[in-house]
Amino acid sequence: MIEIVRNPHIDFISKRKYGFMFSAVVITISLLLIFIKGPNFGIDFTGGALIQVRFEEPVNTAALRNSLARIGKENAQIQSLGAMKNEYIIRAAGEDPGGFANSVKEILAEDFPDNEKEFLREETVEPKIGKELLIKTIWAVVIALMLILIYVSFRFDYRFGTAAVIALFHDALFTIGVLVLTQREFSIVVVGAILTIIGYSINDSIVISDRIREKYTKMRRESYNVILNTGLNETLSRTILTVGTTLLAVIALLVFGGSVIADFAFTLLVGFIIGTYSSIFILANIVSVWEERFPKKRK
Amino acid sequence: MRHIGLRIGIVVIAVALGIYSIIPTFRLYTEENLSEAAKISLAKRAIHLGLDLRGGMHLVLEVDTVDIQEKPQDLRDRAFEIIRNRVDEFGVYEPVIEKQSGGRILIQLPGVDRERAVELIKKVAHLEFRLAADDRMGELIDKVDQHLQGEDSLAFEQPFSSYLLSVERDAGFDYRDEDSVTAMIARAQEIIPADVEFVFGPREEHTGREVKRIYLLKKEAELTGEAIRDARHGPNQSSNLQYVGTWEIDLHFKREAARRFATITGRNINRRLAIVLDGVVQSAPVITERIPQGRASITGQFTAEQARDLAIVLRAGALPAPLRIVEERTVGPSLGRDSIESGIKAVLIAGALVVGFMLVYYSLSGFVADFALLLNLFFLIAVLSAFRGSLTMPGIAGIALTIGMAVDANVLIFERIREELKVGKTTRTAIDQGFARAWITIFDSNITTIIIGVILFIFGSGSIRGFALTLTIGLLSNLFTAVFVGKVIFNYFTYKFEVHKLRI
Repeated sequence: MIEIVRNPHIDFISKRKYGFMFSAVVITISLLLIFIKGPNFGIDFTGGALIQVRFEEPVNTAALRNSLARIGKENAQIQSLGAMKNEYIIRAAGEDPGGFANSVKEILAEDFPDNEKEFLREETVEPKIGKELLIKTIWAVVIALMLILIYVSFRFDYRFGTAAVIALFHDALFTIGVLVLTQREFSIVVVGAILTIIGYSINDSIVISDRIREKYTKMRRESYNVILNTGLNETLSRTILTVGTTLLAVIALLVFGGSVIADFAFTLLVGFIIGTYSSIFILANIVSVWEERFPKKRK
Repeated sequence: MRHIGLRIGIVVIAVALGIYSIIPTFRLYTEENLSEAAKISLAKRAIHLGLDLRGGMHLVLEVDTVDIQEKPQDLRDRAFEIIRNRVDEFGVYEPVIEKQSGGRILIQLPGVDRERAVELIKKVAHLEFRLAADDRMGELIDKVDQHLQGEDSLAFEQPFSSYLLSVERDAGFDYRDEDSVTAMIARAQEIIPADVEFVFGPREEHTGREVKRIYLLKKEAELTGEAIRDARHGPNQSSNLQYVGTWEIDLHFKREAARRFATITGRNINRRLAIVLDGVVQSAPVITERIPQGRASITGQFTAEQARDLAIVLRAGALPAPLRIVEERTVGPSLGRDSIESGIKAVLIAGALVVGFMLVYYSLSGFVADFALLLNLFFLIAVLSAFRGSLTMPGIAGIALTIGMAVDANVLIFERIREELKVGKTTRTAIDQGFARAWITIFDSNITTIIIGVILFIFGSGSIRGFALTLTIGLLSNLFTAVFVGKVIFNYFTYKFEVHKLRI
C-alpha cells in the first residue's frame, strides 16, 4: 500500500498566523493589481475585434506593429502564439469593430505579400454586446454565489459556511490577481474557469467540514483545535490525491490543449492550487479563531 | 450484499442504453463512404461538433430601426423569415437561425465562406424597375453647372460636368470622385425636379480606369421586388461583348405584375428601364418592344456565384430594414481541426496519467476506479449523443476536467475503506462502511460544482455552455459510476472470491 502521508499529525492550527499572514499579503497585492492595473478585459467584454493569423514564414512582432501603425491601429494588442513566431492574435478593443478585420487583412497582404497566410479566427463584438455580456456574467456569478451560500448554510454550521465563502473569495481574488499580473486576456471563458474554481474550492471546504463535523460528535472531550487538526489531517491524503489528479488533467490541457484553451487551463491551474491551500490553511483557521473569541456551548 | 443480481442488471441495462445511443455518433465520425442521406439521419441522433471545432461563423444581427415606424420586434420577425429562406436556399449543412431577445437574430453556419455568407445575409435586396429620364439629363447637367457657379463665384467653369466622362453611351465619373460628385448633387438639390434623381451604377472598368456610371431616373418605381415570382441565374445570352462569360438573373413576374410590366414596356418603347438593386443601377436596357410574357433579366458583371446568390435573395424577398452585425465569430476550418486534435490529445494524456496514477496508488482497487472512470466517459458521450449535445473546445476541456475531478469520489471512498481497514474491520464491512460514509461527502461536494455548471449553462454564452454541459453530465454520471457501479464491482468480487485481504 502506497501512502502519500502516513498517519499525519501536522498541527495546522498552531501555525495559523503564518497562513493568515501569507494570505493577507497575497490578497492585498491581488486587490492592488485588480484596482490599479485592472484586468486585461477581452473583446467579449469591451467590444472590439480580434483576428488570429498564421503565417507560412516567421514574422517578427515589430514588423507586425509597423503594419498596424500604418492603418492607425498602433494600439492593437499583438499576442504571439507558440514558439514558431508565425502565429499571432491581433486584438483591438473598443469602438468601431466594423472594418478592423478587413483592414488588417489588407495591410498584411500588402506588407507581407510573399508570406502565405491563413486567417484562423475572426471575432467582432460591438461594445453594446460586450456590456450586456458583462452584466449577464455578473448576474451569473452573483446567482451562483447565492445558491452556494444557501446550500452551504443549509448543510453546515454558519461558521463553516462563512469560512467557506471567505475561502472562496480568497481563491477567486488571488486567481484574478495572477491573471492581472500576467496580463492574460480576461474573457468569458476565463470567467467560466473562475466559477469552476469556486465550485472546486467549495467542494474541498465541504469535504473537510464534513469530516470535522463528524469528529466533533465523536471527540467530545478534546479541545476544538484538536478536533480541527484531526479533521484536516484525516482528509489530508484525500486533499493531496484529488488536487493531484485534477492538476494532472489541467496540466495536460495546458500543455497539449492548444491556443484556444490555454488561458482557461492556466486559470484553472492557478485556482486549484490556491484552492487547495485555502481549504487547509484558511477554512479551519477561521473557524478556530471564531471558536476562541466566541466559544460555542457544547451540548 | 443485497440484490447483487438486480444491481448488476441495472448496470448492464444502463450500459446497453449507452451503447444504443452512442452508435449513431460512432458511425457518423468513424465510417467512411456514408451516403448523404445516411449522414443526415445519423446526425439527428449524434453529437454535434461546435463551430469552434468544425469551423464556421456565428453571427448576431440587429435590425437597424433608424427612421422606420414599425416595431423592432415585427421587423425582426419579418427579417428572420427572409433570412431563413435565404440560408435554406444557400444550402448550408445544419444551419442554426434563432430569434433572440432585443430584436436580434442569431445565425450559425458551419464551414462557409465568410464574405459570401455575410453578403448573402445582409443584402437588403430592394429591387426596383425605374424609367430613365435620359431626355432631360443633358439640360439638367447644364443647370447644375450654372447653379453651382452662381453659388460660388470662385468655382471653375462647369464644376459638375467637368467631372463627367463618357462611358459608352452613358455618362460616368472616376470612382474616386464619387464623394465630390455626391456633394455637388446635394448642393444643387433645389434645382433638381422633384420627380427625378441621379443614381449611380456599380464600380466597373472602362478603358483602363475604374468608373461609375450616372443615370437620371424617375423617383417612382414602376415595379419592385415584390412583383417577382421566381428568379434564376444562368449564363448571359446577350451578344454584347461586355457581357461575354458573365452570368445573369432571369426574373419571372407574378401574374398581376406581368400585366403591368407589359403595359409599361408597351408605353415606353425606345426609353430605358433601369433595374436598381439597393440603390445601385445594375443595368438600364432600352425597351425595344412590349414584353408580354412577364420576364426580364438583370445583366451585369456577375460571376456564376454572385448571380446565384442574387437570385436567392431576390426569391426570398427584400429585408424590411438593413441589418447590422453586432457580434461575429468566425473560425477557420484548420483552427477547428487543430483544436480537435489538441483537445483529444489532452483528454487522452489526462486520462492516461490519471488511470496510471490510480493503478499505482491503489493497486488492484485502482482497476475499479479506472473502470468507473472509463465507464463515466462512456456515459458522458452517450448522454451527449442522446440529447444531440454539441461538443465545443471548452466542452473538451470539461471532459478533461471531469477525468481529474471524477476520481475524487473514488479517492474519498478508497481512503475511507483504508481507514476502516486500519481500525481492524473485515473486508466486507470496511467496503460497506467506506461507501456509506463517503457517499454523503461525495454528494455534498459534487452538488456545488453541479450548481455552478447549471448556472454557467443558463447564463453562459456560446462555447462556455459546452463546458458547463460536459462538466455537469460528467459529474452526474460520476455519481453513478464511481459510487453505484464501483460498489457493485467490489461486492461482486469479495462475494465471489472470498477476499480476505483487499489490495487498496
